[in-house]
Amino acid sequence: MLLIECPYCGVRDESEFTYSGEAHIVRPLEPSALSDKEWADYLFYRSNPKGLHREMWYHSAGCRRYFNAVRDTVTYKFKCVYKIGDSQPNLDELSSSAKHPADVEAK
Amino acid sequence: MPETKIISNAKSPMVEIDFSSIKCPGSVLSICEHAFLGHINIRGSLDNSKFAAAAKKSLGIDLPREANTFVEHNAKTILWLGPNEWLLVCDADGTANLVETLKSNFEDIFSAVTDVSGGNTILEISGDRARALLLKGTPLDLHHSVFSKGQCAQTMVAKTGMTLWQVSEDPVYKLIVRRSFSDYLGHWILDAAREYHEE
Amino acid sequence: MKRIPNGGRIDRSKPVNFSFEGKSYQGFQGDTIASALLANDVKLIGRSWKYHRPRGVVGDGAEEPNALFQVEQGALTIPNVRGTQAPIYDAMVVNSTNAWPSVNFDVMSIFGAFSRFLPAGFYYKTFMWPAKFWMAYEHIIRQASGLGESPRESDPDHYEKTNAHCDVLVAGAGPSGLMAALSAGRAGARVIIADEQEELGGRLLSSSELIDSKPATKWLEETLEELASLKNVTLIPRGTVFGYHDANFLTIAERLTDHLALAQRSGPRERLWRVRAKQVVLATGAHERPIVFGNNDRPGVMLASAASTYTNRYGVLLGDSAVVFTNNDSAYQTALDLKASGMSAVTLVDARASNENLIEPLKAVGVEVINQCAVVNVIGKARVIAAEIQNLSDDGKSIFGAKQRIDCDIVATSGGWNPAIHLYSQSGGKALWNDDKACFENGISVQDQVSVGAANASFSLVDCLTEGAQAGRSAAIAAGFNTKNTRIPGVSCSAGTDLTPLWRTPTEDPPGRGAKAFVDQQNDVGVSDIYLAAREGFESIEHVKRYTALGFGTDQGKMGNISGMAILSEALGNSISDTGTTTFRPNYTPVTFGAIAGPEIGENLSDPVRKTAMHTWHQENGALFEDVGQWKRPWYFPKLNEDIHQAVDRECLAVRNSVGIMDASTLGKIEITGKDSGDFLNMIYTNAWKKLGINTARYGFMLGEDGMVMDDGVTIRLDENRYFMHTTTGGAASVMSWMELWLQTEWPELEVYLTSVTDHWATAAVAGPNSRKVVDSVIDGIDFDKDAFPFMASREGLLAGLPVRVNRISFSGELCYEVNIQANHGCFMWEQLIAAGAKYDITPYGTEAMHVLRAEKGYVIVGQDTDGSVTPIDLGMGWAISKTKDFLGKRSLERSDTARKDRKQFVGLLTDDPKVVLQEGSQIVNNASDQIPLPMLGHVTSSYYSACVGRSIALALVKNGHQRMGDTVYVTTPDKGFVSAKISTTVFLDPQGEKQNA
Repeated sequence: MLLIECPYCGVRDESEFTYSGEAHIVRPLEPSALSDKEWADYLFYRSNPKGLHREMWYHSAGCRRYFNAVRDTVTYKFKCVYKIGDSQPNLDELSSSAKHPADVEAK
Repeated sequence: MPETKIISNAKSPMVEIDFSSIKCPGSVLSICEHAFLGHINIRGSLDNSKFAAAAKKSLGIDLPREANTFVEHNAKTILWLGPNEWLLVCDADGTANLVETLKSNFEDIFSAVTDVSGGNTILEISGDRARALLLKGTPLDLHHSVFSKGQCAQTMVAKTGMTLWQVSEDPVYKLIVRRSFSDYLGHWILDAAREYHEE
Repeated sequence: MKRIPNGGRIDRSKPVNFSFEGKSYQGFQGDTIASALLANDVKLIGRSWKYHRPRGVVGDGAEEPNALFQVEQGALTIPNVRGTQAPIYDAMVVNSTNAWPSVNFDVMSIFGAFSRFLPAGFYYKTFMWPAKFWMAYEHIIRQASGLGESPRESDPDHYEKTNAHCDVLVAGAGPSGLMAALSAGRAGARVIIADEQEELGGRLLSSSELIDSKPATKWLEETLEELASLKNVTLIPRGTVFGYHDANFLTIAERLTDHLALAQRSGPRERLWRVRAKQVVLATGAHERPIVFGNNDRPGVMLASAASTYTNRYGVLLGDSAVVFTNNDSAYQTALDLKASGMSAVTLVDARASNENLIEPLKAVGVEVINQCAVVNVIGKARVIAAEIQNLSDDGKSIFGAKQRIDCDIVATSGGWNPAIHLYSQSGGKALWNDDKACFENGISVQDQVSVGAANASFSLVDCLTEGAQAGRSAAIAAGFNTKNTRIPGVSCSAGTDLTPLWRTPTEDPPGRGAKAFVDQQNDVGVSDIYLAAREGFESIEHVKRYTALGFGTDQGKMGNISGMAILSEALGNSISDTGTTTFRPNYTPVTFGAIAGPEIGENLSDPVRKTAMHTWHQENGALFEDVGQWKRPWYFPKLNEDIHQAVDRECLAVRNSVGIMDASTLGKIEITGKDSGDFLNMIYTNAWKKLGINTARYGFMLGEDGMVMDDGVTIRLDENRYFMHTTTGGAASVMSWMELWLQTEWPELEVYLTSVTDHWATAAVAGPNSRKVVDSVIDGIDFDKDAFPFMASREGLLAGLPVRVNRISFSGELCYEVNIQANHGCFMWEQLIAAGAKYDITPYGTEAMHVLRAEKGYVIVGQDTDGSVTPIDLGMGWAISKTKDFLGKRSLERSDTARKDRKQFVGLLTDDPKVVLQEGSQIVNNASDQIPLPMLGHVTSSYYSACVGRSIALALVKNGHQRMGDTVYVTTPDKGFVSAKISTTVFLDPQGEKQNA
């Protein structure tokens, strides 16, 4: 059961939130101008990384605001949260600054 | 506290729940429904000074800007629900006028004012066991160092949502539950209070 | 009774009577089932699950593989109660779990004689083929083996759950846990300390050591007093921390009444704590492991620490003579404890060379010490009679010389200690092998957690106290408190911890022969089974576990797992660290379903039950209810002796011929406000909204971006910048979050606010030719003339002075008015309408009649006639799609697959026999006599008998259906037959819509 920081309400229990998929998937401005393949890229294809992932969460049982987060899909840990419209954090900086202990084999 | 569940042509959402069946001294646990109040949902941005001013003009007090807080003024309680959303609780009688006042003062300002009085009901829970009772259902930390008088939160209770606020340190809590879930929550509370009977 | 005259934690002034296997016994307050039985000299307490060998108590805690009991009977019965931890109470009824018909005469023990033919994987190899017989075999195998029986009646007990938050959670209240709680608690941190035992104290409860020059139990008493006096510390005895999840979320099962006599019990039986901790201190101790040798499962062979516990804590005299077999220092204390209990002969057999310092105190009290020898076998069947020992080679790999027999009542064995790293492992941490200490220990913490004391492979008492104090202080500081060092109490010379690994006594017999030597007693896994697995090619410990069942069962291998891994390494010629351990998963010990379910069971609480404002009226008027999402909706209102068909026919005919009334409150309702609302709706819905007149309604489809129908409903324009949207009952919440998603993330520039008003309004749909007269008679301020208030218009009026909004919209195809009122007045409004309709015999109708009425008109129910793969075009409702504007999902309608002309399309189906009602979900084929496999054309989505049409009707999705009007197709029936039907239009009644426009 994760703890998630809503940028508006603060840290709350996971049960108040709904996961809403990968963040920064921008809807094409002119869908009708796209080929089937281009449209499918927008519609179906997601990065699904092992490691840091920018994703959207919805504070469904709280303030009902969507927000973005960077989360590690290996450890489930949140690296940061940011409001919709805020600039994307640099994943390289985030991953180098906080290496997860589970990645370190020796004690 | 005496509860009014039925007035001439209205029934409270928890009309079938009898909190007086909880056999505890009031100092241990006391629960009652405050039905038939006015509930007005207000939307707008405090970054818009016109909106903030119009709200203050209508209500006599600023909308709370700080997250998870509420203010009380002239028998009105105004709860922060989100960065651009508030809930105003007031007497039933003044509701329609207040909605109209807000709407007319907000004219041409991006905002929304919606009467949601029929959709909500309020519970008051107090006593030594109030916090323990709520903790059975809510993941929120209610310790006085974390959540205290003047604070509010929208969160889960049992398997439904609630808007919770603390009105005194005793503690006395109030919470809003949606009408359609209120009978469920009433049953849940009656069950949760069982172990405090005759304590 | 076999008791030491005094000492221990039992209260000799309070005898407790209980029964085991039907026979009465007496123990004392403070006894566990295991200690009480041992005190009554009952050594044989059960049978093993596979070979039905006689078994006795081995351990003194959660690691116990054998002493599992069936406690109480009937609804209160609990299977697999660990007798080493469960206290006795007056009139307790205890039975063995695994013996039939009794422990002393077990018909299944015949398996034991054939144990050579029941090796690892036996069941898989023998019974898996042919696969379809497995079900039959399994039934017999389970009956023969069975680990306890579940109650067959519903659980009469009540269970509680609570959430809790703390700065520091301490798991385990032994010396290190208590010190951690003390130093964090003194600092002012919110502390929760939980321990699975009946009493807090852990090893201190059976220790003969001194702390601050006082007996350990005295120090314990004082420490508990101080902790209890701290308001910020919560003590949870009888509370097992059984799960460690993400973000320091831990679960504790607290037993509240299981220790009380049945008559004394009241209140909840257990409480499940869901704890969110800033810092976690794991002080879970360690489990002693045995050394494996021949017939090491005979009743009377037990762990050295358990022998000390039964002696010191429970005052049990375990016999007259004992052999203690060890590879490490800690068991020397056991030899002293046993001798002090009054045994006449105690022999300590140490696999290692002699050490004068260790031996001296033993010799002083008359304990004989034999070095460089090992116990090779145990004589005796239902109880230990003697141990046989032989010389052990220096490398520990072979035995030699003559067997020496030592008569004894018990054999106490210690192969070292395994830190209880279960919770650490659950937290995501990786266990590491420590060669010096010969145990797995915790690696790096992956959460805000630290392990201390024996759980951290620091076994001496002084280390436990020191690490605990430091961890408590650090945790408090990390949680934001200031604190000084806590004084570490002084400890009398602590027992040594030196050890030379010896996992099993070597044998001279070839593999699979000789006396059976058990690694995992609960699963009857022997050394030979592990060797067999290795020979058959299993190398991964995870595979060997599954092949041999090592580490399964209620004890999850707490005693045998690590030894099993070591023996596998030996068989494979690997190091233990290469072999590795299996993963520990929640739960640490079994947790009752009651605790997990908590109070959230039954009709009212298992899931929220949403009710409308008119619910009580429906109940009082005999409605049967249907669950729609979480809502209770009236299904139909049967009159006396009516079945569902008669009731629904009557309700439908009433709507078509006079007037009916339905509770439509459950539909989702959302107010959409702001100057860009029209633009927003244009994107959300497939059709155009900006030109919609005020107080006018329009039907709309909402698509996912994949072009598939997601929701539908009628939206009304209330004024220039305000719309009122209806969603389906089940779709309300998801539509709201879907619209918020687009507003908040993609189009934040749009000035639109959404507010849910689903609960604010109560809605009654008054439908039928007489509906106008009914609403007109009770609602003021509205001109109900058919032209003044046309179809798809909306008006505001007053009902008994209360504001109402009336929408002339229809889901039945009848003249219909949906009346909305503030929900507190919903019941009042309903009663007013019912009273006004009395002269037209107004008929309340439910969802079943609603379904039939709309199907007669071919109206779609999203989620019933659609399934996430259906477009509006498939539904034949291309007219609702705007050609000129973009909307969500539009581009997908042009994708090659979506634009195909021969997709499954929405059509009507009329059976050739008008009396036959098709089964919903049935498959449709072209020709029943075609070769199997028949190509499937689609399926029936809705099917009813329509009293109004006078025959059965159905709706279906059929491949290329729109081009196949009049074609005959065949529909499967539940009895494997086919029914012929003709494809038709979806509208079965009033195709011109004259009724709703009347």
